[in-house]
Amino acid sequence: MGQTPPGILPALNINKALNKGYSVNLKNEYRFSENVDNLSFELSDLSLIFGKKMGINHHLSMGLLTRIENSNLTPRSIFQYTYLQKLSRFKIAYRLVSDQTFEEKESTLFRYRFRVMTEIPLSGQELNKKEFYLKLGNEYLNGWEAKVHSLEVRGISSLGYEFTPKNKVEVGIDYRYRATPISRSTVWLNACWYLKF
Amino acid sequence: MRYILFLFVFVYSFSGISQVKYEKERRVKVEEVPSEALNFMQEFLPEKKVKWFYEEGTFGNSYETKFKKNGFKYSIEFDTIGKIQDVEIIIQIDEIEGYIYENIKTRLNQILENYSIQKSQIQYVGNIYDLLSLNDLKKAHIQQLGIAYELVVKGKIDGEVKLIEFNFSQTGDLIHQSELHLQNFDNLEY
Repeated sequence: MGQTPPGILPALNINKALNKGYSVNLKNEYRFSENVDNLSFELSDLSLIFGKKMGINHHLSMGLLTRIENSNLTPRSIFQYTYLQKLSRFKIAYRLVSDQTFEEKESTLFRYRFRVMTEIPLSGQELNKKEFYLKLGNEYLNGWEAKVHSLEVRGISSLGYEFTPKNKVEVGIDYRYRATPISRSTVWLNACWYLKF
Repeated sequence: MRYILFLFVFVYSFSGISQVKYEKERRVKVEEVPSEALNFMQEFLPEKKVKWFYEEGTFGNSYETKFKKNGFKYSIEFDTIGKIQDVEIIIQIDEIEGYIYENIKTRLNQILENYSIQKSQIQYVGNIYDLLSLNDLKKAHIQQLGIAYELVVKGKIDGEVKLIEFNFSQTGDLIHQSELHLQNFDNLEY
Protein backbone atom coordinates (compact mmCIF):
# COMPACT_ATOMS: atom_id res chain seq x y z
CA MET A 1 0.00 0.00 0.00
CA GLY A 2 1.31 3.44 -0.93
CA GLN A 3 1.48 6.20 1.54
CA THR A 4 1.36 9.79 0.45
CA PRO A 5 3.08 12.45 2.57
CA PRO A 6 1.08 13.87 5.43
CA GLY A 7 -0.17 17.41 5.34
CA ILE A 8 -2.43 19.94 6.91
CA LEU A 9 -5.93 21.07 6.01
CA PRO A 10 -6.72 24.46 7.50
CA ALA A 11 -10.27 25.64 6.81
CA LEU A 12 -12.69 28.42 7.53
CA ASN A 13 -16.36 27.49 7.64
CA ILE A 14 -18.93 30.27 7.75
CA ASN A 15 -22.66 29.70 8.12
CA LYS A 16 -25.55 32.08 7.94
CA ALA A 17 -29.14 31.26 8.79
CA LEU A 18 -31.64 32.92 6.47
CA ASN A 19 -35.41 33.24 6.73
CA LYS A 20 -37.86 30.35 6.49
CA GLY A 21 -35.35 27.60 7.18
CA TYR A 22 -32.90 28.57 4.46
CA SER A 23 -29.19 28.82 5.19
CA VAL A 24 -25.96 29.40 3.38
CA ASN A 25 -22.53 27.88 3.98
CA LEU A 26 -19.24 29.26 2.75
CA LYS A 27 -16.17 27.13 3.19
CA ASN A 28 -12.57 27.73 2.27
CA GLU A 29 -10.11 24.90 2.78
CA TYR A 30 -6.43 24.78 1.97
CA ARG A 31 -4.22 21.78 1.50
CA PHE A 32 -0.53 21.83 2.34
CA SER A 33 1.63 18.75 1.89
CA GLU A 34 4.75 17.98 3.78
CA ASN A 35 7.94 17.90 1.76
CA VAL A 36 11.43 17.11 3.01
CA ASP A 37 11.66 20.01 5.39
CA ASN A 38 8.76 22.29 4.63
CA LEU A 39 5.08 22.46 3.77
CA SER A 40 4.08 23.27 0.23
CA PHE A 41 0.76 24.60 -0.96
CA GLU A 42 -1.12 22.00 -2.96
CA LEU A 43 -4.62 23.29 -3.56
CA SER A 44 -7.52 25.28 -2.21
CA ASP A 45 -11.25 24.55 -2.20
CA LEU A 46 -13.85 27.27 -2.06
CA SER A 47 -17.49 26.23 -1.76
CA LEU A 48 -20.84 27.94 -1.47
CA ILE A 49 -23.77 25.79 -0.44
CA PHE A 50 -27.41 26.72 0.10
CA GLY A 51 -29.46 24.66 2.53
CA LYS A 52 -33.11 24.28 3.44
CA LYS A 53 -34.64 22.60 6.46
CA MET A 54 -37.08 19.98 5.24
CA GLY A 55 -38.89 19.16 8.44
CA ILE A 56 -37.73 18.68 11.95
CA ASN A 57 -34.43 16.83 11.47
CA HIS A 58 -33.88 16.84 7.73
CA HIS A 59 -31.74 19.23 5.74
CA LEU A 60 -31.27 19.45 1.98
CA SER A 61 -28.40 21.42 0.49
CA MET A 62 -26.90 22.12 -2.89
CA GLY A 63 -24.04 24.22 -4.09
CA LEU A 64 -20.85 24.58 -5.96
CA LEU A 65 -17.23 24.01 -5.04
CA THR A 66 -14.26 25.35 -6.95
CA ARG A 67 -10.89 23.70 -6.60
CA ILE A 68 -7.91 25.91 -7.31
CA GLU A 69 -4.86 23.86 -8.17
CA ASN A 70 -1.83 24.89 -10.25
CA SER A 71 -3.75 27.96 -11.41
CA ASN A 72 -6.53 25.74 -12.75
CA LEU A 73 -10.13 25.97 -11.60
CA THR A 74 -12.10 22.76 -11.34
CA PRO A 75 -15.81 23.07 -10.57
CA ARG A 76 -17.76 20.52 -8.53
CA SER A 77 -21.51 20.47 -8.02
CA ILE A 78 -22.77 19.19 -4.67
CA PHE A 79 -26.15 17.80 -3.59
CA GLN A 80 -26.48 16.89 0.03
CA TYR A 81 -29.04 15.41 2.40
CA THR A 82 -28.43 15.39 6.15
CA TYR A 83 -30.36 13.77 8.94
CA LEU A 84 -29.61 15.40 12.27
CA GLN A 85 -30.23 13.88 15.65
CA LYS A 86 -29.70 15.07 19.20
CA LEU A 87 -29.37 12.19 21.61
CA SER A 88 -28.95 12.32 25.36
CA ARG A 89 -25.16 12.55 25.34
CA PHE A 90 -24.17 13.55 21.84
CA LYS A 91 -25.23 14.98 18.53
CA ILE A 92 -25.09 12.92 15.40
CA ALA A 93 -25.43 13.76 11.71
CA TYR A 94 -25.87 11.28 8.86
CA ARG A 95 -24.91 12.83 5.56
CA LEU A 96 -25.46 11.60 2.01
CA VAL A 97 -23.69 13.53 -0.73
CA SER A 98 -23.67 13.24 -4.48
CA ASP A 99 -21.03 15.35 -6.19
CA GLN A 100 -19.83 15.73 -9.73
CA THR A 101 -16.38 17.05 -10.58
CA PHE A 102 -15.97 18.49 -14.07
CA GLU A 103 -12.30 18.17 -14.89
CA GLU A 104 -10.85 19.64 -18.01
CA LYS A 105 -9.72 17.04 -20.58
CA GLU A 106 -10.89 14.23 -18.30
CA SER A 107 -14.12 12.40 -17.75
CA THR A 108 -16.54 13.72 -15.18
CA LEU A 109 -15.99 12.21 -11.75
CA PHE A 110 -19.20 11.13 -10.01
CA ARG A 111 -18.98 10.48 -6.30
CA TYR A 112 -21.49 9.19 -3.77
CA ARG A 113 -20.55 9.70 -0.17
CA PHE A 114 -21.98 8.66 3.17
CA ARG A 115 -20.74 10.17 6.40
CA VAL A 116 -21.63 9.74 10.05
CA MET A 117 -20.32 12.42 12.38
CA THR A 118 -20.79 12.82 16.11
CA GLU A 119 -20.04 15.52 18.63
CA ILE A 120 -19.46 14.34 22.19
CA PRO A 121 -19.14 16.87 25.04
CA LEU A 122 -16.17 16.25 27.32
CA SER A 123 -17.72 18.02 30.30
CA GLY A 124 -21.21 17.05 31.34
CA GLN A 125 -23.94 15.78 29.07
CA GLU A 126 -24.55 18.97 27.15
CA LEU A 127 -22.00 21.07 25.28
CA ASN A 128 -21.86 24.58 26.67
CA LYS A 129 -19.75 27.53 25.75
CA LYS A 130 -16.10 27.46 26.82
CA GLU A 131 -16.07 23.66 26.86
CA PHE A 132 -14.17 21.05 24.89
CA TYR A 133 -15.75 18.30 22.84
CA LEU A 134 -14.73 15.36 20.74
CA LYS A 135 -15.78 15.01 17.13
CA LEU A 136 -15.66 11.55 15.58
CA GLY A 137 -16.64 10.65 12.07
CA ASN A 138 -16.49 8.00 9.43
CA GLU A 139 -17.05 8.53 5.73
CA TYR A 140 -17.26 6.26 2.70
CA LEU A 141 -16.69 7.69 -0.76
CA ASN A 142 -17.56 5.77 -3.90
CA GLY A 143 -16.39 7.34 -7.13
CA TRP A 144 -16.74 6.58 -10.81
CA GLU A 145 -14.64 8.19 -13.49
CA ALA A 146 -14.88 6.73 -17.00
CA LYS A 147 -16.24 3.50 -15.49
CA VAL A 148 -13.29 3.18 -13.13
CA HIS A 149 -14.52 2.70 -9.59
CA SER A 150 -12.74 4.08 -6.56
CA LEU A 151 -13.46 3.59 -2.89
CA GLU A 152 -12.09 5.70 -0.12
CA VAL A 153 -12.73 5.46 3.61
CA ARG A 154 -12.08 8.32 5.96
CA GLY A 155 -11.79 8.39 9.71
CA ILE A 156 -12.04 11.79 11.37
CA SER A 157 -11.16 12.48 14.97
CA SER A 158 -10.97 16.04 16.24
CA LEU A 159 -10.82 17.92 19.48
CA GLY A 160 -13.09 20.93 19.47
CA TYR A 161 -13.55 23.96 21.65
CA GLU A 162 -16.76 25.95 21.78
CA PHE A 163 -16.18 29.64 22.49
CA THR A 164 -19.90 30.22 21.94
CA PRO A 165 -22.47 28.05 20.11
CA LYS A 166 -21.70 30.15 17.03
CA ASN A 167 -17.95 30.06 17.29
CA LYS A 168 -16.05 26.78 17.42
CA VAL A 169 -12.55 25.63 16.62
CA GLU A 170 -11.53 22.06 15.86
CA VAL A 171 -8.14 20.42 15.42
CA GLY A 172 -7.64 16.76 14.65
CA ILE A 173 -6.66 13.94 12.39
CA ASP A 174 -8.28 13.09 9.08
CA TYR A 175 -7.12 9.64 7.99
CA ARG A 176 -7.94 8.67 4.42
CA TYR A 177 -7.54 5.20 3.05
CA ARG A 178 -8.14 4.61 -0.62
CA ALA A 179 -8.92 0.97 -1.22
CA THR A 180 -9.35 0.99 -4.99
CA PRO A 181 -8.20 1.32 -7.75
CA ILE A 182 -4.75 1.79 -6.16
CA SER A 183 -4.52 1.51 -2.42
CA ARG A 184 -2.94 4.34 -0.52
CA SER A 185 -3.32 6.12 2.75
CA THR A 186 -2.87 9.70 3.82
CA VAL A 187 -2.91 11.40 7.17
CA TRP A 188 -4.00 15.01 7.37
CA LEU A 189 -3.92 17.34 10.29
CA ASN A 190 -7.13 19.29 10.01
CA ALA A 191 -7.95 22.57 11.67
CA CYS A 192 -11.23 24.31 11.14
CA TRP A 193 -12.83 27.44 12.48
CA TYR A 194 -16.64 27.43 12.40
CA LEU A 195 -18.51 30.69 12.57
CA LYS A 196 -22.23 31.30 12.40
CA PHE A 197 -23.94 34.61 11.84
CA MET B 1 -10.60 -5.86 5.39
CA ARG B 2 -8.44 -3.04 6.56
CA TYR B 3 -10.95 -0.30 6.39
CA ILE B 4 -13.13 -2.11 8.87
CA LEU B 5 -10.62 -0.73 11.35
CA PHE B 6 -12.04 2.69 10.73
CA LEU B 7 -15.56 1.77 11.58
CA PHE B 8 -16.73 3.54 14.64
CA VAL B 9 -19.36 1.97 16.74
CA PHE B 10 -22.49 4.07 16.84
CA VAL B 11 -24.71 1.64 18.59
CA TYR B 12 -24.63 3.10 22.08
CA SER B 13 -28.04 2.78 23.49
CA PHE B 14 -28.45 6.34 24.69
CA SER B 15 -32.17 6.54 24.51
CA GLY B 16 -33.95 9.77 25.27
CA ILE B 17 -32.91 13.31 24.55
CA SER B 18 -30.57 15.65 26.30
CA GLN B 19 -31.41 17.98 29.13
CA VAL B 20 -31.72 21.22 27.26
CA LYS B 21 -33.63 22.97 30.03
CA TYR B 22 -30.53 24.50 31.57
CA GLU B 23 -28.22 27.06 30.13
CA LYS B 24 -25.06 25.53 31.52
CA GLU B 25 -24.28 22.18 33.08
CA ARG B 26 -21.03 20.70 34.27
CA ARG B 27 -19.97 17.49 35.90
CA VAL B 28 -18.95 17.81 39.57
CA LYS B 29 -17.14 15.52 41.96
CA VAL B 30 -19.07 13.90 44.76
CA GLU B 31 -17.03 15.94 47.29
CA GLU B 32 -18.63 19.13 45.95
CA VAL B 33 -22.19 17.90 46.46
CA PRO B 34 -24.03 19.04 49.65
CA SER B 35 -24.27 16.31 52.27
CA GLU B 36 -28.08 16.48 52.44
CA ALA B 37 -28.27 15.52 48.75
CA LEU B 38 -25.76 12.71 49.26
CA ASN B 39 -27.74 11.39 52.23
CA PHE B 40 -30.91 11.31 50.15
CA MET B 41 -29.19 9.39 47.40
CA GLN B 42 -27.63 7.01 49.91
CA GLU B 43 -31.15 6.02 50.93
CA PHE B 44 -32.65 6.19 47.46
CA LEU B 45 -29.98 4.18 45.72
CA PRO B 46 -27.55 2.64 48.22
CA GLU B 47 -26.26 0.06 45.76
CA LYS B 48 -24.93 2.44 43.15
CA LYS B 49 -22.58 5.39 42.69
CA VAL B 50 -24.15 8.13 40.66
CA LYS B 51 -22.88 11.00 38.50
CA TRP B 52 -23.44 14.53 39.72
CA PHE B 53 -23.94 17.71 37.73
CA TYR B 54 -24.11 21.36 38.68
CA GLU B 55 -26.52 23.36 36.61
CA GLU B 56 -26.83 27.08 36.18
CA GLY B 57 -30.17 27.97 34.70
CA THR B 58 -32.66 30.71 34.18
CA PHE B 59 -34.54 29.80 37.36
CA GLY B 60 -31.51 29.32 39.58
CA ASN B 61 -28.72 26.88 40.20
CA SER B 62 -29.00 23.30 41.33
CA TYR B 63 -27.31 19.96 41.77
CA GLU B 64 -28.64 17.07 39.75
CA THR B 65 -27.96 13.41 39.47
CA LYS B 66 -29.01 11.15 36.61
CA PHE B 67 -29.06 7.38 36.66
CA LYS B 68 -30.92 4.29 35.55
CA LYS B 69 -32.82 2.07 37.94
CA ASN B 70 -34.97 -0.91 37.06
CA GLY B 71 -35.00 0.19 33.44
CA PHE B 72 -36.18 3.73 34.21
CA LYS B 73 -34.11 6.87 33.66
CA TYR B 74 -34.21 9.06 36.75
CA SER B 75 -33.13 12.61 37.24
CA ILE B 76 -33.18 14.02 40.78
CA GLU B 77 -32.69 17.69 41.44
CA PHE B 78 -31.50 19.40 44.62
CA ASP B 79 -31.06 23.04 45.47
CA THR B 80 -27.64 24.50 46.23
CA ILE B 81 -27.79 23.47 49.91
CA GLY B 82 -28.85 19.93 49.05
CA LYS B 83 -32.60 20.10 49.66
CA ILE B 84 -34.52 17.90 47.27
CA GLN B 85 -36.56 19.72 44.62
CA ASP B 86 -38.08 16.99 42.48
CA VAL B 87 -37.72 13.53 41.01
CA GLU B 88 -38.14 13.18 37.26
CA ILE B 89 -38.51 9.99 35.30
CA ILE B 90 -38.27 9.77 31.53
CA ILE B 91 -41.33 8.13 30.02
CA GLN B 92 -42.74 7.38 26.61
CA ILE B 93 -45.46 9.84 25.66
CA ASP B 94 -48.04 7.07 25.30
CA GLU B 95 -47.46 6.04 28.91
CA ILE B 96 -49.40 9.13 29.95
CA GLU B 97 -52.96 8.27 30.88
CA GLY B 98 -55.44 8.45 27.98
CA TYR B 99 -57.47 11.60 28.64
CA ILE B 100 -54.39 13.53 29.85
CA TYR B 101 -52.51 12.54 26.74
CA GLU B 102 -55.45 13.69 24.60
CA ASN B 103 -55.47 17.07 26.36
CA ILE B 104 -51.75 17.45 25.74
CA LYS B 105 -52.05 16.48 22.07
CA THR B 106 -54.93 18.89 21.53
CA ARG B 107 -52.92 21.74 22.99
CA LEU B 108 -49.81 20.90 20.98
CA ASN B 109 -51.86 20.76 17.78
CA GLN B 110 -53.23 24.22 18.55
CA ILE B 111 -49.77 25.70 19.00
CA LEU B 112 -47.67 23.82 16.45
CA GLU B 113 -48.20 23.04 12.77
CA ASN B 114 -46.13 19.90 12.79
CA TYR B 115 -44.18 18.49 15.69
CA SER B 116 -42.19 15.65 17.14
CA ILE B 117 -41.82 15.01 20.84
CA GLN B 118 -38.12 14.85 21.66
CA LYS B 119 -38.41 14.04 25.34
CA SER B 120 -41.19 13.41 27.81
CA GLN B 121 -40.85 13.04 31.51
CA ILE B 122 -43.00 12.91 34.57
CA GLN B 123 -42.06 15.12 37.47
CA TYR B 124 -42.85 14.33 41.09
CA VAL B 125 -42.74 16.83 43.95
CA GLY B 126 -43.50 16.25 47.60
CA ASN B 127 -41.90 15.56 50.95
CA ILE B 128 -38.71 13.56 51.32
CA TYR B 129 -40.45 10.48 52.63
CA ASP B 130 -42.83 10.21 49.66
CA LEU B 131 -40.12 11.07 47.13
CA LEU B 132 -37.91 8.35 48.59
CA SER B 133 -40.66 5.84 47.88
CA LEU B 134 -40.08 6.41 44.15
CA ASN B 135 -37.03 4.17 44.31
CA ASP B 136 -39.52 1.32 43.91
CA LEU B 137 -42.22 2.48 41.54
CA LYS B 138 -44.48 -0.46 42.42
CA LYS B 139 -44.64 0.71 46.04
CA ALA B 140 -44.34 4.46 45.43
CA HIS B 141 -46.70 6.83 47.24
CA ILE B 142 -47.98 8.28 43.97
CA GLN B 143 -51.22 9.56 45.54
CA GLN B 144 -49.28 11.73 47.98
CA LEU B 145 -47.08 13.30 45.33
CA GLY B 146 -47.65 16.25 43.06
CA ILE B 147 -47.33 15.35 39.39
CA ALA B 148 -46.50 17.39 36.31
CA TYR B 149 -45.37 16.52 32.81
CA GLU B 150 -42.48 18.10 30.98
CA LEU B 151 -42.18 17.74 27.22
CA VAL B 152 -39.47 18.96 24.89
CA VAL B 153 -41.05 19.32 21.48
CA LYS B 154 -39.57 20.27 18.14
CA GLY B 155 -42.15 21.81 15.88
CA LYS B 156 -43.11 24.44 13.38
CA ILE B 157 -44.55 27.78 14.40
CA ASP B 158 -45.22 30.25 11.60
CA GLY B 159 -43.21 28.08 9.25
CA GLU B 160 -40.14 28.09 11.47
CA VAL B 161 -38.80 25.06 13.32
CA LYS B 162 -38.41 25.70 17.03
CA LEU B 163 -37.54 23.71 20.11
CA ILE B 164 -40.00 24.31 22.91
CA GLU B 165 -40.30 23.04 26.44
CA PHE B 166 -43.87 22.56 27.65
CA ASN B 167 -44.99 21.99 31.22
CA PHE B 168 -48.37 20.37 31.68
CA SER B 169 -50.34 19.83 34.86
CA GLN B 170 -51.51 16.50 36.23
CA THR B 171 -54.65 16.81 34.08
CA GLY B 172 -52.83 17.85 30.92
CA ASP B 173 -53.44 21.60 31.10
CA LEU B 174 -50.64 23.77 29.82
CA ILE B 175 -48.86 25.58 32.65
CA HIS B 176 -45.86 27.04 30.92
CA GLN B 177 -43.93 26.98 27.68
CA SER B 178 -40.53 28.36 26.83
CA GLU B 179 -38.44 28.32 23.71
CA LEU B 180 -35.11 26.56 23.88
CA HIS B 181 -32.13 27.16 21.70
CA LEU B 182 -31.94 24.86 18.69
CA GLN B 183 -28.71 22.96 18.54
CA ASN B 184 -26.11 24.13 16.06
CA PHE B 185 -25.15 21.23 13.78
CA ASP B 186 -23.08 23.19 11.26
CA ASN B 187 -19.81 21.55 12.27
CA LEU B 188 -21.30 18.10 11.75
CA GLU B 189 -23.01 18.92 8.50
CA TYR B 190 -20.34 20.77 6.53
